[in-house]
Amino acid sequence: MDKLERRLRDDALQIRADVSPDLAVRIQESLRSARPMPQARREFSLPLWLAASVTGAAAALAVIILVNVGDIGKPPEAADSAPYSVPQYVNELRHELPLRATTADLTAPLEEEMKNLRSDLERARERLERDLEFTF
Amino acid sequence: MPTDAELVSRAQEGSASAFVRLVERYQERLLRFLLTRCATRADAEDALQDTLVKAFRYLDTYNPRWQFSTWLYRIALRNAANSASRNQMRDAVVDTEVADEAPGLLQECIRESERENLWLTAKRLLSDEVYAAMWFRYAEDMSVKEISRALGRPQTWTRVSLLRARKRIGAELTDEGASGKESKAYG
Repeated sequence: MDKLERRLRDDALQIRADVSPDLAVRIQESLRSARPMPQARREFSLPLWLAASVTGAAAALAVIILVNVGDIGKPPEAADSAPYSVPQYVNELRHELPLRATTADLTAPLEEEMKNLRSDLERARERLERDLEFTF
Repeated sequence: MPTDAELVSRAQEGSASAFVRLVERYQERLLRFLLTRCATRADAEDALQDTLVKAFRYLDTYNPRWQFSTWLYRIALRNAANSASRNQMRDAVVDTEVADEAPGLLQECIRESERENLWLTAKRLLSDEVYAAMWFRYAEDMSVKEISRALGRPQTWTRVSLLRARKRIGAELTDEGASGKESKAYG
């Protein structure tokens, strides 16, 4: 520490900054009446991000399940009461449907959309964090 | 003696006594800083109160990556700036009564000494922002990184400003010394 630094430090201590008892009481009282802000950042941004992810994943899963179930479009009674035989061409048609390929086609845009949503949310979260920091 | 980080963590969990200890630890230091920034003692005291209340209210948003003091001084700076702008508006409406007493506050708060207090010299020579950087560095012993964070400036700016400010004050001291010798010689 050089001479100038020492002088600056000493001179800072020469500034009288006693907190008077009145001021101390005033501060204590204002603190007592103040309420902490709710955990805005934690409760708002993180769960929103999580909820969006979970919702997106659940939607994608639901679509995959629905598309993969072979009974789509089949009336519920058909399985229970089928006194007549199913024509051969119906079965052929059903087997010829490229179900896996269709699934991939259907979920790809959804996954893309989910990726976009996630990045939008991430950007919004960063902006919010930045704004919160600028508050002070 | 618990560290700031421990007290902050306890305060964030809801311990009022931990926050009171932080207040006791910082109130005098903050007031000393605010006295160098505000126009009147009342303004400085109001700014101190606002700073501590805001710190309490927004404690949850405090990022422990930074020193607690940096965060606190950042709030104090903002409050001091708000107080200054309020005074400017008041001065515009009610003439210059407040402006007249402004330069005297720091002088009033300084204990009597044979020589001029360097912070008065700094106040005369430096801009508010550079003055704050000097204060943080030499009165509060903050690192360049923390100062940059508190002022919202790049570290390069802080380094250069501190260097220039030191040179300026040093030159002023040299001039004073030379003129003192001269006056003695001729007196």
